[in-house]
Amino acid sequence: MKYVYRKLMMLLLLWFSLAGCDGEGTLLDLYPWEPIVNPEVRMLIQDNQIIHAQFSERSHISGITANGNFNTGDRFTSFDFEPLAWQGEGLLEFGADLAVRVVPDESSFSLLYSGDRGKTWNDHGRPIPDPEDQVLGKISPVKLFVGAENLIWLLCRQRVGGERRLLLYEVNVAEGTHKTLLKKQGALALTAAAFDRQNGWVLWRNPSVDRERVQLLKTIDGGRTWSDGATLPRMGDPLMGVIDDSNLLVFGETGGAFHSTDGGATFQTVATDMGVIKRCQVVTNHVIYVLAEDGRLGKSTDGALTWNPLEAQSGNTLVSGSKMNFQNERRGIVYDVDRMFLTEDGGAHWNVLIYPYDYVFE
Amino acid sequence: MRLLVLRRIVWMILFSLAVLPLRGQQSIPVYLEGEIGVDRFGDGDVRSVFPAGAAFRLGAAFALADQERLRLRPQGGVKFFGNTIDEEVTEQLLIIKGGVQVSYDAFFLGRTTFFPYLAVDYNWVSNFDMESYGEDDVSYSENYLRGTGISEEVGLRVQVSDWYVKAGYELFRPRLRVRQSIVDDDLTSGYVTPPSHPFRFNTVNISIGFSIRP
Repeated sequence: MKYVYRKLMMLLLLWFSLAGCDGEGTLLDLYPWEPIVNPEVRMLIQDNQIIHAQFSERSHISGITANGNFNTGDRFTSFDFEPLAWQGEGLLEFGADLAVRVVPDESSFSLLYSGDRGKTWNDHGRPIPDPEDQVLGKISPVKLFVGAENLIWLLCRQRVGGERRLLLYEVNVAEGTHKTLLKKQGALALTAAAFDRQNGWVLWRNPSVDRERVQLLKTIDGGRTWSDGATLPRMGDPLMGVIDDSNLLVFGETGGAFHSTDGGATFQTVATDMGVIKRCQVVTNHVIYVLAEDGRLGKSTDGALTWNPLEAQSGNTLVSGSKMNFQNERRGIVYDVDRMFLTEDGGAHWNVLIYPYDYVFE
Repeated sequence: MRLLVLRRIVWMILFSLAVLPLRGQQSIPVYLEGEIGVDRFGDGDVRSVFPAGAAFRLGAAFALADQERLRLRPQGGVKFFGNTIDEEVTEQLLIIKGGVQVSYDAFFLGRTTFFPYLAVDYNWVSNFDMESYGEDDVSYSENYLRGTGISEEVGLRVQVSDWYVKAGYELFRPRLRVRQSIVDDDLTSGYVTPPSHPFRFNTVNISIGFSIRP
């Protein structure tokens, strides 16, 4: 019996060893998997970078890269790409259907605008600064604001002797006109924003008088008259978010955030717990999104009174970016030069549309 | 749905047959049967990974109705497929089986008896790597894929004296679950991996075996 058992075991071992053949690949290779992003998006981020993206129709996303323009209606499952060398020098800002840039030249600057995503650029033509201002010293654009109905504000600095000077212009590219809204001596221009053609604000400070304070100016009549608003703590590169003609947000570079409900006369400190805010988009009077310097997204649903950093993640990929575009309070994209994320539910869930996964570059 | 109903009917029949021998154990002949064989997958993709496999089965066959021509065999066994990845690593696919087989002594030619058979097994499937760096240095990885499922097999057994040759076709489509860490790693790399997936593990098999009455 022991002999039979030994023979049987030897036969079994021999038999099983025959089963150890050389196959091709592994069983796991037959297990299905799907790439999260279309690898074809490599043309948007390999030796290229996303410059601007926005919703162009109901669910279409169009945008500009350094090497051309793209458009997709199916979340980049397929997309059109039109090669185009992007001319991006100068101060750049995008409106709903207008791209505007201000290009410095030897004595002043030129304002160019495009209604076809940078394919053609039109020169505003006429010199924007008054000739008598130009002779006083070089005028440097510091902030370009493109608001609703293609309202364009251009905020500039000028050094006149040893003193700073603030200049604010409104440009109407449709009519080919512009006008000076504000000239202020002894003011270092910081930023400006408008709610409409009547209501707007300018932040400035006077470094020779008070380096620690930032002043606010407000107009309610399209720049004909300006009134002083609140004084804020020093902030080097402030960001303004306009909710309506009386609700205004100011984000400082040290992480401080201020909210005014009286058109800038007074401000209350609000806590975003987000660090330095670099982007702010007011979607409705209640829903406001902000992007922090580290790429995190935050949201307020009560008109900026309280803020919640969104724990935004898609799979194992952290949602982050330096720019965003929300079509409404639920649908929006967050993007950077090499990535793009989409939410359809106000930031609770995200889809990765573009991301530099390894296979994208293979 | 129809397949599920059919499976239930087959299981009920086999269970009924399985309890029959308990009523008169002393009067029913019992045969000890064992077999080893070669399996080959029907699906080309799976076959390219595992060109051939080995099978081993053992069971006790009860000779029942119709002058003991109906045989009912509770059985257990294993199927093993190996795929040499490199000198040290071999991918393994192990299927452990337990079930019943019904065969019928249909006819004979001289000393050769022909048994058509039908078998139903419950299967435990695991797919893993074996790393071998010497006789005493063998380790096994966690399962990449694992799952369970019911298989059905039909075939013909040709028996001469105590020995037989058997050829059959097994229908087996288990749904295997992938290891969670693989799903997570894939997600990090930008791939969506479903938690489970059905595999076509249908096989053609040929075995030799013995049937003895202890």
